[in-house]
Amino acid sequence: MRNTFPYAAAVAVLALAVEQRPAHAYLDPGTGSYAAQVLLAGALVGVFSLKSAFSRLVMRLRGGIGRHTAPNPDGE
Amino acid sequence: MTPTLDGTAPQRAVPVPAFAAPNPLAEFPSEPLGSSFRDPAGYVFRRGGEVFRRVSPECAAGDYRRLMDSGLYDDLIGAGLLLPHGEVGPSPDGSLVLRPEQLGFVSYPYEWSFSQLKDAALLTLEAQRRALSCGMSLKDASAYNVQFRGSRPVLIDTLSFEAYREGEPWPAYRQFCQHFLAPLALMSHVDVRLGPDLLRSRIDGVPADLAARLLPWKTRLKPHLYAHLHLPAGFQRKAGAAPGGGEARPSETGAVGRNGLCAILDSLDSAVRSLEWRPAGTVWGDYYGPGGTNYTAEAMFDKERLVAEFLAYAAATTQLGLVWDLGANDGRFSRLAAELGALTVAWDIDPAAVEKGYREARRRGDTRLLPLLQDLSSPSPDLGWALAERDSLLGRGPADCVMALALVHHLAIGNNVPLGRVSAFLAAASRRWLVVEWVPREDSQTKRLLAHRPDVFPGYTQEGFEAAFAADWSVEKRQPIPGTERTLYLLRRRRVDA
Repeated sequence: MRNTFPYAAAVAVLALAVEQRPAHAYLDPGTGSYAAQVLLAGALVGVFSLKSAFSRLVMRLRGGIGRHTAPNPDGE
Repeated sequence: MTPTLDGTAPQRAVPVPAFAAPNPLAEFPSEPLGSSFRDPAGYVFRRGGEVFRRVSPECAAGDYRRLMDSGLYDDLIGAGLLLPHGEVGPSPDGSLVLRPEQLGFVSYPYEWSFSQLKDAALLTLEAQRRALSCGMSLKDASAYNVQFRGSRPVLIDTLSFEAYREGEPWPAYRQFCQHFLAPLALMSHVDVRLGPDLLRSRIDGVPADLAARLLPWKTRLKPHLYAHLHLPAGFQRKAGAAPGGGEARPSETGAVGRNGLCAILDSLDSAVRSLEWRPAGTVWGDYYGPGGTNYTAEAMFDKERLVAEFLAYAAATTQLGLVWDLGANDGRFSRLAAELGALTVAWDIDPAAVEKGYREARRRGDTRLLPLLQDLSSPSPDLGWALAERDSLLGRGPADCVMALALVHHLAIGNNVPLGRVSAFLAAASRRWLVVEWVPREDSQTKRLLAHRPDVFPGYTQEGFEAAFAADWSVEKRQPIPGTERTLYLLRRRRVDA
């Protein structure tokens, strides 16, 4: 199962910034999309960078282990 | 590399010097299709039964060239994410004509099962990730830009890619959420029928504020769904309530760096992957299971043998390019047509049956079988601007052969459609052949339909059926299905469309 706690923490901070208030006027469905991305990017980029670095580290380690444990094609 | 037009191994595209050779398409009118008018970079047109794409001179020299030269096109084709095309040639005005690989059938997101929409969403995100790594970006993320080649989704809009501008948010973000994430979340957390129903009535998808109102409160506790549905809904309300509300431009909101964009894509990917729906508990999803049908194993085997025999006879007489199996359940009998080489669309009303059919087709890697949702009592209509953006079910036909197995009693008794009208509809759907199963009123399935309603169907007899269908069809073959009271017919259209 994926650990979503870091994302939850990042998004929770954002949630406090956005007041959920019903508005009954006509809304352009695009309204707010760019602003949301700016805030989301700011909130998520830290978690994403850590996740990417961890993935690269795991891949490198696996690659290293794989090199050491790969069977020798000559059987030696 | 650009693929050859006959679909053989890709070869290096040979640049065609401007005006070097006459372009046969330049002399012909190329009116855009009704669905192709929003993008100034080009449009799609049809000629001689084939679909072509005209690229504007600006795009041909700019974003299109970047797509081909950056390595992105080769990367996407290699991964099976983009529909291949060949360059037909330039026009005197500098525009370029492309001939994409031809699709046998066009389907729409409101006809897809849960997993089809989910796979299309993941495909779109993967294409955007690869585009970013090549300095490009998807400028739209419409679900209508995805089609299925059998069980495999593929992006069809070659001109959706534009140069990535550092710092700019993803212009297709909102559209992705509306076309994919919101309907998937509603299908997963509320009711699977909401996706097709809302996508059919709202051609540009489900807005975040509507999705946020319909989703249960617990989805606010899921960080990725909160981030991309509930939070944008709040932004929409705030921006809409503000004086002079409206969308702020990137220059007013600040920049989104490439890492930030990748973080958003990663979060969207997690949001989509976290959504699940398991088909279970519906009548049709378990139709072939214990108690679902009154066929014994032997009778089912005999029915399969007869259907295969009738289809083989039809295929030997005329080529079966496209077959529609109406009321196909999970596509068990549709596969018989697909195995003859026909592109076979397995239509069914039940999301669970279509989901099962799609998962099985995906597991097998079927390229000739496409399970889709369809309510025949109210088939897909013409939709969109001027009713010309999305074609109706019949507007995408006729098929060469229609299969209607254990269907007629549902239409005639379950939906009160007179047998003559059932025949006329099927004749509009099929150019030549109809494989149809007669289910008599003595059959337990028909009895079940009549159990809780007055029997006002005195004409529902085998003689009445044959008389009603005789207006449109002649009987080519007729065989009782052993072990049942049913009869299988192979009917031939009396009047064949050109």
